[in-house]
Amino acid sequence: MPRLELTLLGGFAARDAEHGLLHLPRRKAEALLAYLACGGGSSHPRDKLAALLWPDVSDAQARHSLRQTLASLRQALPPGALRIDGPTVGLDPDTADVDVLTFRRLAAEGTPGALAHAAAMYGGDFLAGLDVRDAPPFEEWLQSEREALRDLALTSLARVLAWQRDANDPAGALHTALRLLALDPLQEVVHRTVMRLMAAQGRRDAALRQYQTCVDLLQRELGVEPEAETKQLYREILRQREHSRPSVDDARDRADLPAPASPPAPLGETALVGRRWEMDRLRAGLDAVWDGRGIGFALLGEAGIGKSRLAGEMMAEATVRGGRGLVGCAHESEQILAFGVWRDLFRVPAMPREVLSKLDARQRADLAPLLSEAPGSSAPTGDALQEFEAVTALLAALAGLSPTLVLLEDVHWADEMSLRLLAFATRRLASAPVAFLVTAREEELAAVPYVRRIFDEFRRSGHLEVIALSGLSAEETAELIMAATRTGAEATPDTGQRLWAVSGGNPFVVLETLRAAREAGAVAEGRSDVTRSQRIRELVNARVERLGPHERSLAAAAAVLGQPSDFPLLSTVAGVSEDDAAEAVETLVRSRLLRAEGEQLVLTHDWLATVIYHELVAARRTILHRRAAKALEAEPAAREPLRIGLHYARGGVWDKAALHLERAAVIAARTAAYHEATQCADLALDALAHLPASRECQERQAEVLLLCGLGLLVTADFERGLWTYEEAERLAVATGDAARVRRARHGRSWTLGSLGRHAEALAAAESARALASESGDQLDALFADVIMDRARYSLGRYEECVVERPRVADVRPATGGSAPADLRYMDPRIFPVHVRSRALARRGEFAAAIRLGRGMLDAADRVGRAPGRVMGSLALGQAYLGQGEIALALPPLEQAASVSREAELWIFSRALWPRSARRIEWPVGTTPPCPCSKRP
Amino acid sequence: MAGRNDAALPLLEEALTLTKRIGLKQSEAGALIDLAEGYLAAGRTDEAQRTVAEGLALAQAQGERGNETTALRILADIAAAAEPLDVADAEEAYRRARASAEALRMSPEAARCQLGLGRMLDRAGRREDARCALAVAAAEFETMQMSA
Repeated sequence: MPRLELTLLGGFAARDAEHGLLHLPRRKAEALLAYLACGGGSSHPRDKLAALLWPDVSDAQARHSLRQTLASLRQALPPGALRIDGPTVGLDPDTADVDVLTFRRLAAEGTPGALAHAAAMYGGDFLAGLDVRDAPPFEEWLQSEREALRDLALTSLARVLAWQRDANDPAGALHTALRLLALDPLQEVVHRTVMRLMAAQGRRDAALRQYQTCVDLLQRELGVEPEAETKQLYREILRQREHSRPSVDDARDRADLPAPASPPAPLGETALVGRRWEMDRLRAGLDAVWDGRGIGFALLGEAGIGKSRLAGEMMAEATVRGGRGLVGCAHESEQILAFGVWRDLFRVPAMPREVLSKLDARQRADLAPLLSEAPGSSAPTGDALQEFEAVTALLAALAGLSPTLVLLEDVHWADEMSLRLLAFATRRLASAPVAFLVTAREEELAAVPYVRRIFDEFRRSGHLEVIALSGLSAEETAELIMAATRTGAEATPDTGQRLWAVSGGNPFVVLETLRAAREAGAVAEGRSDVTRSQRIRELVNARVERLGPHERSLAAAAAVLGQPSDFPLLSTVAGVSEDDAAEAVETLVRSRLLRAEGEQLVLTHDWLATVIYHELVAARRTILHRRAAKALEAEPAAREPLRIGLHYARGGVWDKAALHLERAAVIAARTAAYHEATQCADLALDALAHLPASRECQERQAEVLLLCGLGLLVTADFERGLWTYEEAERLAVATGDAARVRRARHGRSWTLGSLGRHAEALAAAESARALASESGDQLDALFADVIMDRARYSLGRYEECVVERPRVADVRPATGGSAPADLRYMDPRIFPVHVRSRALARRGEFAAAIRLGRGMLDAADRVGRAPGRVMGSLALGQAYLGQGEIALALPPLEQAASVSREAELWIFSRALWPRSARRIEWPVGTTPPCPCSKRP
Repeated sequence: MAGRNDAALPLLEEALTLTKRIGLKQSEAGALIDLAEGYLAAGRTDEAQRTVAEGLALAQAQGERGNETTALRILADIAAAAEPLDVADAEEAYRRARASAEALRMSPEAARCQLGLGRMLDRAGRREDARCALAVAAAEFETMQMSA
């Protein structure tokens, strides 16, 4: 009875029947045990084992290491498991149950049951994760074993798959095929098997997606296209809704098994989301067809917007009604082939005999180039009109059997003859039960004059009704995500909103971004970056590559600028003359890459901008950012220091970046936009960190830190605020800047108080007060007194807080001029009175408290600053409240709440502050910084 | 205080939640004590007891003697509302709170302690002691032009 169970497939695990999982002390012990186990009871000489695992040390040392390893194994394994017989070592086969040996035995047995068991046992690569790279001989043996076992697994799985298909077990077969693909994703024949099995289960979308997976893998790994047979199968599945089952025989594939595939698609299939109006229009069209009239629809929209999906729904609807469907697809590479899309349409399946019999010989001859059937005895006339007539006759004959839906996909790539034939057929078959449905990318139509012209004719003639598809709404996007993720676990409102914002409601972009984020494990972290998706990148690159050089430059400039910009700015950044730029902008607008917002131009979608920006090489991005910064700086009223600073930063011009970002921080703080102030300050600090160390730089850093600290304090990020003030103080001390030392201590005291550390707050304020006394700066001294009062109030030392302080009008800062922004926030005209008023109320001196509160409100109204108004209202309301005058207390208290909410004063109205963060429009490719992100 | 407990309690609870969420320790003890007073006014004495105890502990830890005094007064009010009434216990609680208020010259809190003491004594049937205590409280309120 085996007492030791060794699992070597998929990784190493040793279990003892008595103790469970065994822990071996070193990886070479695992390697040695695995080697002995695979020997099936054979004994190995010690010298051989020592050389296998310790090849780079002396023999004596290797033998010593082997002895130690064997000793540790003997200690860990059940007694008797190791068979050490003088110079040889082995593993007792009766004691150990080794999965590799069982796997090999079952595979060799070869019966369906044994193979299925073997396939199920293969849990992954042999000794996966075991790294013994310092023992090359062992590594060679490991690789060789690993490959052999993997081949055996593939063969076993392929044979199981063949049996399962013969036994008509599609679910089991699909499971096995997907396991095969997981082991070897490049086996094209298995991809085909999966496509067939999925299609047979009615999972047409999954089958079509499997093809895309196959195409992507082959392209990425081998740089090749799928085999013709795979392409053919795809077309066949595409047409599946017009016919009951795919008709291509898969006997050859069965013989060729095994083959490839990626893991199952991580996102589920979804029902059609949104598009209710469009489906109603299409259904009404089908109603007309079933009444015997011909109709035509053109579904227009950008790539990924869901044209094919909608067309597929219509095809399914037609099939359900008992109609016939024909699908042709135009390809970019086949634009020069006449009737390309019609050839594709008629390629499969074979035409019913009764249809062909209704055509005369000349028509059959003219159809020969389009049909796979033999043309008969006549030669084609070569006359286009005759060919048009022949196709029309063929469609009419088909429609005579059952209403027919003709779907022509991607006609923006169709050749001219195909489109002329389409126009002819829609006119000629207006009274036949034929529905024409074409799909086209509107942005591509702009580039092909004849396609555009023919579409214009369609519009005018009314033979094709144009349905333009736009993006899904935010709600529909959320619904799509919910449906795609099945559980909805990832479909948080935030995810939905974020994906909608980035995708503009483009379902392809939504799903691909979600898929890529999921594969990167980033959904839960809130990172849904379109650039993760290779398919989205390819989509965008394909559009950009078709542009001319000026258009590409302008698109790149627009991506770098990020937000709507006027034409002169765009052309300057692009480095394109205004004449050329005007022409290029027209092309871009016509191609739906650029759109106008009044006088401003911007890329049509954020995801386009993001991908275009991402695809720019770093050097080009740098140049464009520098141009953008210079151009913005040169504008007569350069009022956007943040934008300019960010472009300089992205352009690596750090001195200018720092200047503009510092200015942006100061402006934000002066307008009470403290969250923005903090962010700008953080960016400025980053820029300053790139400058050579100097006293001036340290002084600037200290100043920015003081601003940043203020922002953090007001936005209630106290821990970071405290660190920021401490850092500001350190720099100020280093540069001997007494005024900034005092300000840093003020801020530190204030922050400590907010953290409830009142005694420390008082001590910090007292030290600042001492410095202010030394300096003779009366304003600073007053400010220190105010902060001390605040701490004393919190400590219940009210009698010390009711002392009247000098009026601010009577004091002056030592340096003259206006107070820095942080002092301005804690306005000494108001704050000392606030503390005093509250202390008076605590002591029952309500009349005085109320008088002070009213005075504060008057002062705040004169100054026009929201924090003062809030403090005044609070003081007044609290005084009335303390007195028990509820009716009088409520109005000022309600006013305090209202003003704090309107002014987004987080410290007073905490739930509202994040809104302010959205005021900053970040250039594409930059990430809004976390305030003082590098700090604790 | 206006008797609209149903409107007040959600606001007080929200204030405490927000204060805790942003880590504004400076206001947390005050928010707890205000909420405890709200619970007590609504007759939810168990919640009042629990909340004020938390507020008292935080106020003491942070050295907030003013908040500590108010918390002690609310604890006394809770003791005075207890069933059955432990007169000695409630009386001692009021005396302790008043002593703290007087030390900080928090006259309104001292007056409230006196008022609570008088009401409690009245409830206990000690009419004369109650009358004396309430007279003192009334005078104090009058001095400060406070409404009870």
